[in-house]
Amino acid sequence: MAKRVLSIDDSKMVHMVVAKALKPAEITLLTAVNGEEGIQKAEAEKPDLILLDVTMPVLDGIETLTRLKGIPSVKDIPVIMLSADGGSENIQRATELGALKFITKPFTADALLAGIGEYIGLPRPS
Amino acid sequence: MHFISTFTRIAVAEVFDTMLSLKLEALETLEGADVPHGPLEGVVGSVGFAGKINGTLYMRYSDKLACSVTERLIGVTPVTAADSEVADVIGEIANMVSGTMKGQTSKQGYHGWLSTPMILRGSEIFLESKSAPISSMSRFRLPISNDRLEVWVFAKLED
Repeated sequence: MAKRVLSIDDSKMVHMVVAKALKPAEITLLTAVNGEEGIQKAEAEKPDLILLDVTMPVLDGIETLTRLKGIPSVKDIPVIMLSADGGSENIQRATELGALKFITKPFTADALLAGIGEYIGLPRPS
Repeated sequence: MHFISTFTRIAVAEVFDTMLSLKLEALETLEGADVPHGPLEGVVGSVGFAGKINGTLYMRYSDKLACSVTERLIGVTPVTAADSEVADVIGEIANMVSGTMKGQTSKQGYHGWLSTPMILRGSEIFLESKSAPISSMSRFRLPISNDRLEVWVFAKLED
């Protein structure tokens, strides 16, 4: 069964770039444009991994992560932060809340695949 | 050259190289009283900084250049520069450039936060700051267009 990744980001451009990056690995991409929608989709779809932006309207990434980790049915889904705002305070806060990694934008397709691969069982790039 | 101008040039080049596989050529950088304020036309992506560094970054594209960058990045050809895809791409690029700059300024001790991106579009745009002691404008040549990308930063550093 194809792996499924949920991208929570207010930029549709980021969803399109992520989709292009994940396509070679045959990963299905689910998308949400803010934290509230992301939490709903995470509960409904139970993706294999969540990519989460930090700076978003409605509900930012840190608050979204806090809520995700408080929901029993989704709290164990791996979360990787994917944000342009890679300041040390954001990285520290996200790590404390349970994010596994912080990938900063801009990113290459290879870096994104390598970043998520170890958490969803993708083969290591040769 | 002020280090904010240097960081701007580095951040813009890095984002376009990584996300669009475009090698930008940095042209002139103007600072202080030499910085032009307008009127400008086209599409402007902006992001605000707050914290130990306060200010705003503006990235101005001609309508044609904004459409070309959008098409290259997401593979969608906009009908006009007013299309939502253009605003999304120009805003996200400004967000990435600001984030990259923030990473560099943080290493100098100037920590802060970023706003969500905003988009301006029109033909009579003036960019001014009444209180920022640092002002900078850098021009870049892109290999996909004869139009120049222009990037303004107005900033104040808090000790």
